[in-house]
Amino acid sequence: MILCGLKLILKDKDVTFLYAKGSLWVFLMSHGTRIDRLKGPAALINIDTGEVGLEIESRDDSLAELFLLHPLYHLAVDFIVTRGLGSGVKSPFTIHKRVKRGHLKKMAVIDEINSSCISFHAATSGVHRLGISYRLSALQLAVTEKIASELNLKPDLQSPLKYITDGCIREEDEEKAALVALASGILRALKLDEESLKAEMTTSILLPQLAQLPIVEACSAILKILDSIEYPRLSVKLDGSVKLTSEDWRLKDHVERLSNAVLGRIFKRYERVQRCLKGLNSHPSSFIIDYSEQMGLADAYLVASIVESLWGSCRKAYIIATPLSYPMAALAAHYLKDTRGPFDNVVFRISSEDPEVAAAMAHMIVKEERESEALVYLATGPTSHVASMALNLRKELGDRVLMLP
Amino acid sequence: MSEQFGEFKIVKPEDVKFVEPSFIVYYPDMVYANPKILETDLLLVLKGACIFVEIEDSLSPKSIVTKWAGKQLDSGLLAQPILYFVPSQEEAKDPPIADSPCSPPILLPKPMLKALVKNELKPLIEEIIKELQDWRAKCFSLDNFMCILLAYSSPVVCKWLVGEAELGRYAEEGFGLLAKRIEMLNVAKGLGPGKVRISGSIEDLITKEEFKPARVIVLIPLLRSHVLHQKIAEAIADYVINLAKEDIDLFLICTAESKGDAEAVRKLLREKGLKKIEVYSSPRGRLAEESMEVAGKGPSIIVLTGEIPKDVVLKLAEFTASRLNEVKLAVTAWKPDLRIFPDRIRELDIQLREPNLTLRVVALDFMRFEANTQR
Repeated sequence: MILCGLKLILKDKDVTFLYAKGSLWVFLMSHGTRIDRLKGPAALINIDTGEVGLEIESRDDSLAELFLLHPLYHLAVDFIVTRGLGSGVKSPFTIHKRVKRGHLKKMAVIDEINSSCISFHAATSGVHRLGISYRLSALQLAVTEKIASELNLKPDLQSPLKYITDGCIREEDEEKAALVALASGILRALKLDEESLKAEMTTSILLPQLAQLPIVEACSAILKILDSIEYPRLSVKLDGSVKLTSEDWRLKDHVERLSNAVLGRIFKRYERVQRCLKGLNSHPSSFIIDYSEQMGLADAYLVASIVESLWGSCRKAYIIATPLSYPMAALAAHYLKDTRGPFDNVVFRISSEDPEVAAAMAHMIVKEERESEALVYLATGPTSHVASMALNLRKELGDRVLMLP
Repeated sequence: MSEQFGEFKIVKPEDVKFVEPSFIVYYPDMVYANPKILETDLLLVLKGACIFVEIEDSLSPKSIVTKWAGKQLDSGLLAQPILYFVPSQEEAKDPPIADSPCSPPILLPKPMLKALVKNELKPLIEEIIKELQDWRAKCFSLDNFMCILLAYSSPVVCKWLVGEAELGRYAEEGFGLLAKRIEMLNVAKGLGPGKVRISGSIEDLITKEEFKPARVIVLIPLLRSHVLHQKIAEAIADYVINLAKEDIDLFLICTAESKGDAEAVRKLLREKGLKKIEVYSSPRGRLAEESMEVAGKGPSIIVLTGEIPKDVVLKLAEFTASRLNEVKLAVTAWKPDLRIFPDRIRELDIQLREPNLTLRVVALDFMRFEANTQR
């Protein structure tokens, strides 16, 4: 039986803040420690099982294998397929090695989907707590302008998707790619030992809800019908609760089942942030934004949009990352800088889960903000970091700092 | 060989700029546990290179090859040089290659290392051990991150991070170990001398702590894992016992979903001799209020374990900030204990290997940063 698959094709910006085309994915995937280029990688996704393969040019074989084997790097595909160079068959001399490692695995591609490095990273990550967070974050990014619109925000800011792909991917492509990444990820995660999965997902925003049967059925159906749908045409509605839906009748029910799990956190959070900031008497001079590993470019876009809609501009934004969240936080900081959003100055800093280090970070900020009349602290990092930052900011700056979860 | 590959540089002892015994790197996800991804006996940092050194006491060279191959693969160090020091000159001369899946490691006789450590490397080792003992527990997660950069990162990323994320500013706040890490990065990645200024100071308040709570309130989220139950129970028991107050009341506050976890922790705490323990189950929306109510009855410490919803964390931070003399906030964090070094390789007179990480309760009112108000 020939396996049927969807193919995600990575489309990247020519020059990113670090390097060049294809490298942003490597930066995210290697936990921010590498910036090599892999030429035109693609991901093959089995529509029946969610199994994922990385298709790569044979000259990049060893680098891809290094990434796959490396304990730190996120790449966790089920197999690597190599594309041959030039004419003829793929290196018959090494057929034993290639058969053993799945390099010659065949999959009938029934649809090709363009994908940004964010959804590509999500699709090729492991299916642990972080990997599922990356998948949710990718889908949030794909519909971020729709979330903003539902929050009555119409910023002048360039969309993050346009920023990372330079406009070579349409929102519709990215929606489809992000749906594939999430659906295949959930199906793959369910093959893990149930008790381990529960323990792994404990503190996650997902809890065990994604493992419920209706969600699993929805993911399975989405993978199977996406090839016959040109674009999912997703939309976001506030209808009692947050609703992600599709204008395509074949997808509508399945996508709606994913709604709360996918958009609940981001929607409720920024609705609350917007409400609290509207109630402020004074214009805050700085924002301190803690970046958790579940956050992405959508969060940077929504914070900036809210600030722009309320005050037009703001003096400074601190993007505070931890060792786990820093690749995405770094990207968000560059996005805010490069797109000349509402913040006149964007500062990127790395703190950590050590409460002592978080206290030092708070101390540094306090020194810089001693003259400020009002600051906003958006607290989303790890508990030990947030508790230490919050306590020290409150002790040092008193009521001048507004702290929001 | 030299014609084909160009000129080789012979590494001399004076080329070694930093030496660290027991160089260990953990996966940086600090929520649950921290699996080791790299563990080496001795790290040598030279200009433009890191050399990972393994010291073997009793293995035959043949089994070293097997162990070496697995370890190199496991730690993602396939592209890195690794030196092996083995007991005798004869073994070093005769590395086995016939049935090895990998190219042979570089084997050097152990007396050579002994002489090297005793003569040239000793001051460097003593210097880093002092920094590790003074600071690693306080900045463990960030230090681990910089060790990741040292072992795995490309020079461009290191340069960009040290510059853009201003990691050097921690040195200005007094974290000497982080200054040393930046210097190591600068040397190993060929980024220039870049000496980091250490200024400012941190006064440790823990030893001055005279706060005596009547109760300890512990928030227990969903944990599920038996190992975490044990680690949290150990951390709380150690903390409560260290407070040296026998009549302390312990309250475990949980939600309906995490009640099983709280009960499991209570059982373990009882086994450790703590008797006065109550479990309160509270609705998710009242977790903070419930804790504050209990804490409002007298001197208390509120301990946050695992990942607690941030609205709850902020409410409790507000609450404790408004009652600094009556209520303290604390968290659990993974920490290495570098006061206890097992002397694995006693004859080399190097203190080696931190024990596995332990979860510890850390009170947040612990430090006072001084001076250095101007940059």
